[in-house]
Amino acid sequence: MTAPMPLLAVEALTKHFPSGTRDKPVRALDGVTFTVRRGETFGLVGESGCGKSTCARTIIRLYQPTDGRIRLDGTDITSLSQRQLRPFRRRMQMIFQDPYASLNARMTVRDIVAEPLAVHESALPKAEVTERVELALSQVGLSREHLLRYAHEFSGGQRQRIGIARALILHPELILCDEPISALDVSIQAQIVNLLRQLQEDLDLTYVFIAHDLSMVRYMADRVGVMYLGQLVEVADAPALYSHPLHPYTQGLLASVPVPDPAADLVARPPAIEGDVPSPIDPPSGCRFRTRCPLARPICGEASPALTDTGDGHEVACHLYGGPGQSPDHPSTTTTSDHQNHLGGNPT
Amino acid sequence: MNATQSLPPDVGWEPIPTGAHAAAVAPRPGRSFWQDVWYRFRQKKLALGGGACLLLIAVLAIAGPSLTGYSYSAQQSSLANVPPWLALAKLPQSDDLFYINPHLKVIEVTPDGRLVRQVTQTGDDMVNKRMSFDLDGATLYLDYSAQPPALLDPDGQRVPATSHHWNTSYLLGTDALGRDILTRTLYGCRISLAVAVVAALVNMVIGIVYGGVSGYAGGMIDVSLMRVVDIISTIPLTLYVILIKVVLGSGGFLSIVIALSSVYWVDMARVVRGQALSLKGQEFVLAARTIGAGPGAILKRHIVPNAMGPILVTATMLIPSAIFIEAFLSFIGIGIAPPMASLGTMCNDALTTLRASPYQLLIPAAAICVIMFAFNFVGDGLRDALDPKLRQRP
Repeated sequence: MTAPMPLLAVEALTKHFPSGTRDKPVRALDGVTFTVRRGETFGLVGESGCGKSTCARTIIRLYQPTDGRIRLDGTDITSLSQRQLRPFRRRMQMIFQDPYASLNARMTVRDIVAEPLAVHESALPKAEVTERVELALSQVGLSREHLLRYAHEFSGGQRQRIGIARALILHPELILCDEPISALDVSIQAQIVNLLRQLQEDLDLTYVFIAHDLSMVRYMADRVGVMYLGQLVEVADAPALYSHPLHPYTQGLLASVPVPDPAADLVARPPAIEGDVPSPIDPPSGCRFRTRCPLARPICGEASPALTDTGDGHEVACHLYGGPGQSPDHPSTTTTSDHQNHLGGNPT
Repeated sequence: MNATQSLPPDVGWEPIPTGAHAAAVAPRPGRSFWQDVWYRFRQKKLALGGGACLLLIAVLAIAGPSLTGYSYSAQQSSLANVPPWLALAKLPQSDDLFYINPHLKVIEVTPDGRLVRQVTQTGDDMVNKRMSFDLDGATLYLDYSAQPPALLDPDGQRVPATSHHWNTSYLLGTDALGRDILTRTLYGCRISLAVAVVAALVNMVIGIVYGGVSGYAGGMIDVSLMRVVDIISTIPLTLYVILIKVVLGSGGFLSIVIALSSVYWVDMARVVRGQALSLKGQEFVLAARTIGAGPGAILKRHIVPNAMGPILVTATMLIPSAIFIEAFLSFIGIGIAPPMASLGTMCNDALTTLRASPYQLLIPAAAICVIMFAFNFVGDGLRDALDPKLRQRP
């Protein structure tokens, strides 16, 4: 099988932060491996603090990875200096979570959106800069009237559009969306998500879409990775993941999504995950989820399960699916898919 | 058109002329950041007054000394200790009036307040407490047996100093050495403003760059840079001035300038460092980094503009305090060296004659107050004007 080269390949990416008082580091990201194909949307979901944002920030090299490899279109950018990175920065941009904090309050919209040009194409004449800015603004649904306003004069949704325009102006191939909608109203979320989809279609973009809203990810993503405590526990095509979640954590996560139909709530659901996320400074041995897993076995505490393909590119890191002799004897696959049908397919 | 015709005649509505529509849609030209700052600054009357006051002082301090007709050092000891507001005695034998200064010198003054000369003293009868003066061949007596001292008319009667006039020769009077206080005050303002400029420059350049680099770089660079700041700030400025004065051999103004520029930026560096530390984690700085902007560009474009509020607040506290430090150092005698005039040295000079000639202290002290108030008002106004979160479109 000669698959085309993935646009982004992340191999065993690890990021540890010093934890201040203790000698042990905070294992924010521990051996994350996934690939993103050109033109697709890769969703990354998980609880708060599971390392989603760290993953995005490490990929774009805001953080220096502790270990692992990041390949952009085949080129290893893991250990490039900031200067060497600059040509690659043009090709990947980021959209941030908080539209209020991600725009400089002292700059006009024109200057904010033009900043990438000032860095990468500083020789561009002023008129052309304005033209490019106007184009980028029109792509996100803002007009040239807004050029000379300041960010605080806009609503959250408009600010997020400005942030998207800033990410678009260099014509990047890959955009890392770090929870781009979680700070917005629900009605605005739909607008922004549809804008992102429209842009993907028009400009042939590839997204890494981070969110904790599972139904939004289902709507956006072609493939989804589920993160838990700095590790990927399951990666699958979005329909497969939502209809047949394999990992107990994914099942619990999907079960925790509120269902709009009260009658559906009466149907038996797998037990919701209990307890808190363990500290990433001192993660459990073996499988990190075993402390909260309803199906934990002795082996889960001994060996860390690797991400293995169970067929059709559906990868899962769980001892339930580990050995070839082991049949997936998991009981809850059907029950989950029952109520999963109620999950929002189209948020508009 | 049908719609307009169907309107009742006195409803108060009128159809818009067709051309007006385009004008209403055309984008209003936005204001730049500094236009905005200026717009908000203008709303603050006190700040505007302070700014005008500073401008006036600056113009006077630069141009003034050449207009007064006196130099700051020229002494006219015969006309020493003459106040700006003269109490004059009119004698029948002369058209001119006479002013008796606190040291019992008699000064002849024209009716329009111009000082003519000091009348020559010929004798002093200490028993009768009576001095004699030679006025164009005639003898003039001054009786100081009673307070206040008074001249005697030809009949031997005391002539009270009842008529008053402004001193038109020396608008603010003369000091104990007969130097024009107006000229010296203007020179003193010049020095104060020069110190303010030096302090502002040092703070705005060294303080911001040093603090910004320290805060944004973080880690070991931050720790070592801040230890240097700690060391500098533990040694009092007075000591630096004395040491620099010793090293230079002379000094005065130069030693104050060197001392200020070498150590006066530490407070600003601390403030800017704190701001840089808190700002560098903000998403807009992260966004700039993902774009690929270098540290210099991020400091210039993102961190310093967003820290401008605290920077200006600090600067408005530091500039008046630098002015005050200079005045204080000059006052205690280790600042500006005589005959150069500084507001501080003038205050010190005035102390010896404080009871007899309080104006010699009040005038430079008032000048210090006005300058410091003006800087404070301007600073407050600037701080409010620079915060765009208060910005409201009219």
